[in-house]
Amino acid sequence: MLQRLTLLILLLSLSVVSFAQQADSVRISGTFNRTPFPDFVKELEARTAYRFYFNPADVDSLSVTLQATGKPLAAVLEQALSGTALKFAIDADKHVFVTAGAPIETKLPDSFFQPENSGAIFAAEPDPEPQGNNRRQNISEQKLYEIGIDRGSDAGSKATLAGYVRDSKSGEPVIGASVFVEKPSIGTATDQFGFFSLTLPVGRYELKIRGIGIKNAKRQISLHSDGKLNIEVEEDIARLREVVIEAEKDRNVAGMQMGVEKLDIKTIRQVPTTFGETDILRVVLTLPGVKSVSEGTTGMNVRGGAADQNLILFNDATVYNPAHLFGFFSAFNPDIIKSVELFKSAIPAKYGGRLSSVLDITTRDGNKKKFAGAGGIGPLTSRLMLEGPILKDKSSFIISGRSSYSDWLLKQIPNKSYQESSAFFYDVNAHITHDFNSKNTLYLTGYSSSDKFRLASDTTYRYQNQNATLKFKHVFGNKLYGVFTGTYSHYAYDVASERNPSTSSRLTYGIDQTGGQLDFSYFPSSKHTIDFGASTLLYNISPGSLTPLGGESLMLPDVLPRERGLENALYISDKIDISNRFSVYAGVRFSLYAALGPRDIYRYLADASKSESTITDTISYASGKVMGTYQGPELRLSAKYAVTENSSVKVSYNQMRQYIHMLSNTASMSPTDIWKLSDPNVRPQLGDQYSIGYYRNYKRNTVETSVEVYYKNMRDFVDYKSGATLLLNHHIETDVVNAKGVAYGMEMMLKKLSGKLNGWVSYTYSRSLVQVNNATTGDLVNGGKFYPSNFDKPHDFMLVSNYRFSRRFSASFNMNYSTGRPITLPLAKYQVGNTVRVYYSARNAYRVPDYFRTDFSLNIEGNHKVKKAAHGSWTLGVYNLTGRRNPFSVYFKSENGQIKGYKLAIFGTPIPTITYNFKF
Amino acid sequence: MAAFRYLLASGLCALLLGLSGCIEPFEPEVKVQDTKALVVDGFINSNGRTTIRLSHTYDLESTAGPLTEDKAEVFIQGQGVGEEYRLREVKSGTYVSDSLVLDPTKKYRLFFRTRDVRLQLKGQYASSYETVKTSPPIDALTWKVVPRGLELYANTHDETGQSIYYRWDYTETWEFTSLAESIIQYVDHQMVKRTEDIYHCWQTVNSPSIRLTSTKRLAQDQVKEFPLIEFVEGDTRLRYKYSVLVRQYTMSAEEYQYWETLKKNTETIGSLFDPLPSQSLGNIRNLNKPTEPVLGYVGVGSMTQKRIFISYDELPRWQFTTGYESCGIPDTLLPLKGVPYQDVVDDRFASQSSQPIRKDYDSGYYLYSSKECVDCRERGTTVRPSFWQ
Repeated sequence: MLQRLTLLILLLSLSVVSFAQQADSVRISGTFNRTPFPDFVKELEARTAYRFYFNPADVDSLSVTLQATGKPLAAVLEQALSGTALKFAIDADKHVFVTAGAPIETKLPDSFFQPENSGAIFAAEPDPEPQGNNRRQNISEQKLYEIGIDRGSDAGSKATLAGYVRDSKSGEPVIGASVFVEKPSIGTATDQFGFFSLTLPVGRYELKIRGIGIKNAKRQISLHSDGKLNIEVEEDIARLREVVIEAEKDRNVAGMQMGVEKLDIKTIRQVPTTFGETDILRVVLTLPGVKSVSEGTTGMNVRGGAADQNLILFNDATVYNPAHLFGFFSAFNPDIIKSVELFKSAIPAKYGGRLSSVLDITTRDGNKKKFAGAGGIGPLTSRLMLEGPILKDKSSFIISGRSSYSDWLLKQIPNKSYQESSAFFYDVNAHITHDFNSKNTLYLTGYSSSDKFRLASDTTYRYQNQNATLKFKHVFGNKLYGVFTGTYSHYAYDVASERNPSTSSRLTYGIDQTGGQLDFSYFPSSKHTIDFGASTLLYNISPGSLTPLGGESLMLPDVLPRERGLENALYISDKIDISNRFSVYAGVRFSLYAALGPRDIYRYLADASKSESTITDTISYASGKVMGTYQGPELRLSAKYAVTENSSVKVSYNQMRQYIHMLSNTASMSPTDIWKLSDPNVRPQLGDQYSIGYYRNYKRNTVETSVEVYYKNMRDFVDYKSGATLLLNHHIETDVVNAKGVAYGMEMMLKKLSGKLNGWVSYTYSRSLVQVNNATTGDLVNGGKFYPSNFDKPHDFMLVSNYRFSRRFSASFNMNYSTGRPITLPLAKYQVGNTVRVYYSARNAYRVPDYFRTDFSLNIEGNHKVKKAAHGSWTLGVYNLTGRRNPFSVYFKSENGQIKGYKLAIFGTPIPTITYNFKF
Repeated sequence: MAAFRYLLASGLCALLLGLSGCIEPFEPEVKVQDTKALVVDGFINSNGRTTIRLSHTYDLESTAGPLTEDKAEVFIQGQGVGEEYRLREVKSGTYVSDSLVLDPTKKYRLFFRTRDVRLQLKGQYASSYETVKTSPPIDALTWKVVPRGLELYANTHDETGQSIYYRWDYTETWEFTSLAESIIQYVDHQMVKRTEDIYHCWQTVNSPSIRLTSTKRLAQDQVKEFPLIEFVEGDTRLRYKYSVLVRQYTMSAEEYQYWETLKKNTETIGSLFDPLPSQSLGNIRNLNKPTEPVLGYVGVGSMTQKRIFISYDELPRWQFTTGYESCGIPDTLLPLKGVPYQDVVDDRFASQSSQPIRKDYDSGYYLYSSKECVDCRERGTTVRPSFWQ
């Protein structure tokens, strides 16, 4: 519609004159009271010679209330449209164009009728050293931007256009937006800084910008030589106004990536959750290929990998425990999150260190133009976020905090031990962005979260995450930029037990990770995008200490020696567009790990299972001495072939190495899990994955479908000997075994992210199998055969949907079915040597009952006046609509000589929730 | 930790549903035949009588003992030449050999055929051939008073360096007394003098846990002060006199691993948040159906044993627990108004679940407590063990 309109203007308005004088000559009088906009227009058309053009969808909720006596048309329209995003333009032929967002330029670009590359006629605008003040950020879509100096060069020569795509309202960078021209079909995507670089033959183009969360935009450019163009786009406030997505060149088919799921915060907010809290990890768990061991845990299992095989990055700093309240909440405040990206296969060479996936969480930059805030009040937590400029258009801050008041909940439970218990958590984020100039930008992020529980007044659990990131970006030129990132991550827990004064003790664990990395992106030509860089990570772990607590305690202190390790990596990758249809990504990462002293390392007999009785020697290493090294290349390859305009086939091959392992004595992630570094006795985990996918879009790219098949090999990941002791174990290697894993599966997904009805449906068939069969040491589980891993849930169906009844009401509905997780059951009892023992099934030979849950929620927005103190919204939801008692835990107890099984369901009833969110 | 997570979960649930709604019995569907396995308990004694018990696994919810496998033909077989010794069934499921001395240079196995009620052959089973592991004698059982209480140690060595893998089990016996000495007895509506002492008893318990160690990493095949049994300060077992008979076995590396796994498995029963247990079978196979699970590891070797006594007068002046703390102090049987005292007495003692102790010296009413608290035979035996010193 708008495009046709534009065309209409171009055809009609060949002789354009300034409209102001014309419009002034007609005076309008009248009273309109809540008149729908179309009626208002009819009235005006009846009284004047003006004709109006507008998109009915733009104005469908707009009504006009005004009184005018002899006012010019422009003034009347200004009044009528004030407080909306609508703009108007009047041309010489008495045509009035009402558009959403940018007003239509009724004046054609001066160069409109100039033949391309006609050389001398152009008033060349040189752009030798673009400063902040001459950045082109005009949001006119019709204006022609001259890029570079026109030296009358050949039509065949090429030039590079680079710049940033930013949000016009807040100045925030737009990540992952496609920037492309259609003829010839050349495009790129903005990176995490909103930066793009596009090499094109010199000439005249219509540059299009498409992306999630922004309105489609375009720019008319005339490219003469290398130059810059910063583009400001408008946020697509999906809840306020619907966008008509036309011919979106989206990444499902056209993008190089496969096995990547990207969620923006708006999608995340629509998904109903347990306590009405927007929960990132909970939504990530709805994606195909992502599973968790049980409800109420945030440990993710991606494509058959263990929970510790996911690299969770919060603005590039590793997060070791992404959960609050023992896994019932994720540790990220939704108000500060911009987007969440999950790489399941085709992991870029830049990332490494974990076997299964990378979950990249990026926070928003603060609003560079004005102060704003948001918050929410839920049944368990409240949160508040503030943002604004420090130096207008140069630097901004965003700060957010969240705190629980879950204590009262425990107090409600009619049981003394709960009433004496307490549970409390908070998290705080701060993020600062500063643009020194167009070439240098600094980003600073701090994050802290803390949890504290007190159980029946004698045992206190505490754990903390602290992260900091410093990022400095320097643009060397249109074709090259570099980013230096320094990160620090700290995770620690302590458990204080005060039940008995003589046994009072404190158990502590801590990990510190300091890292530095340099990443460069180089765009030598339109066919190549080269990323390269280096990184180094220093781990410093205090693996556990038990100290007496209080004067009466008789506990003997037990402190495990520190573990240290250094992980270095170099990488380079090239994305090559061989033809319009065929592109290849080839990358390699070389990682080198060194376990560092000071520490004592036990040596074990080579041909026996490691145990205390097979220790042969102890070797002491001095501080900083290398105790052992592991190294190897990791290949990252992928290719895309576009079969048709709407469909493509992608393949990828991935190698990963992991030098840090989580040891957990529970099947899910928990705060007392231990991270252990590789050392001469614990080898790094290795994995490789092959995947192939077919992608097809329908209905003008509004419906995306994909089928991906993968096969994965994992070696040397950690499994446990039966009944392993993990806490305060001085020789942990005696309780773990190296396991081999195989995972394969097929993920099918149908996704519609626009329109009144949006959401996705996915079905996954996957298996995850483990084998412990070490013939030389005799470590066997299940006779050395493959057995299902803890998170092997073959069938998984997920429906996430949202229906928008109007701009103010939307309803969300979720449905999830999955096979129950495997479990090892006690089958019978038997008597040996006068004692009764339990006869277990083979490991993971049985399954708990299947999982099924449906949720429903209703989102009610306040009114949509643009200018008012605060926008409020309510979310009413029901979690587990059918009240099915899905097992949270299955356990067996010995009661009077009988062994009985029990099933505990936490959310075994429909749970209503209500949350109030606000934004100002 | 797991406990807290569980508590938190059930707390949340309790809030939503009320506690009764959160926890339901869970009866997984398991095929009955999957729960059935034959159990072989015992070892081939290379220097003495071999006792083998054949039984079956039994239901988790059963409170009765296991079903035994009787009418089986059980043999000890030497590898190679037809050396074979038959075991006789002395009671249902228990098979005993004559006192044998086996050739320590040869390998032996257990072989048996099971038969059904009509004596039709059910299955033929055999353990793997094992070398004879002769246990060295226990050098000494020693003990020490430590801050927590008392520790009892095993000490042994093998000059030939062949033993390496050691396992012990033990039988503890201790003298104890019940809550109070009962001198009267209620017989046929009469209070008479008690003739039998139900105050002094001996309790005997078999070792609940598996005790293992290995000297593989030591320069010498010597076990020094391996902690076998721990006592907290004032442990009931040490109140009067305590005795333990420790049996020592040596074994192959494979058998050691079997016991090690079994030991770890017995720690927990298994839930979603506990360490994963796993099946520990052994070295016995059904010759016709190798996939059939058979539980137990039959090793070959000699067992050595040693007994030690610990008397309270060897110990510091500890405040000992009696084991009857939960009983409180004896109750006084008070008369009821308008009811003859004899009726009150009849009413109280007719069922035998309460036992009279004596008359209260002041009031003349009977002191009594539950049978559990008064009659030590509920926990042990009044028969003085033959070895008791």
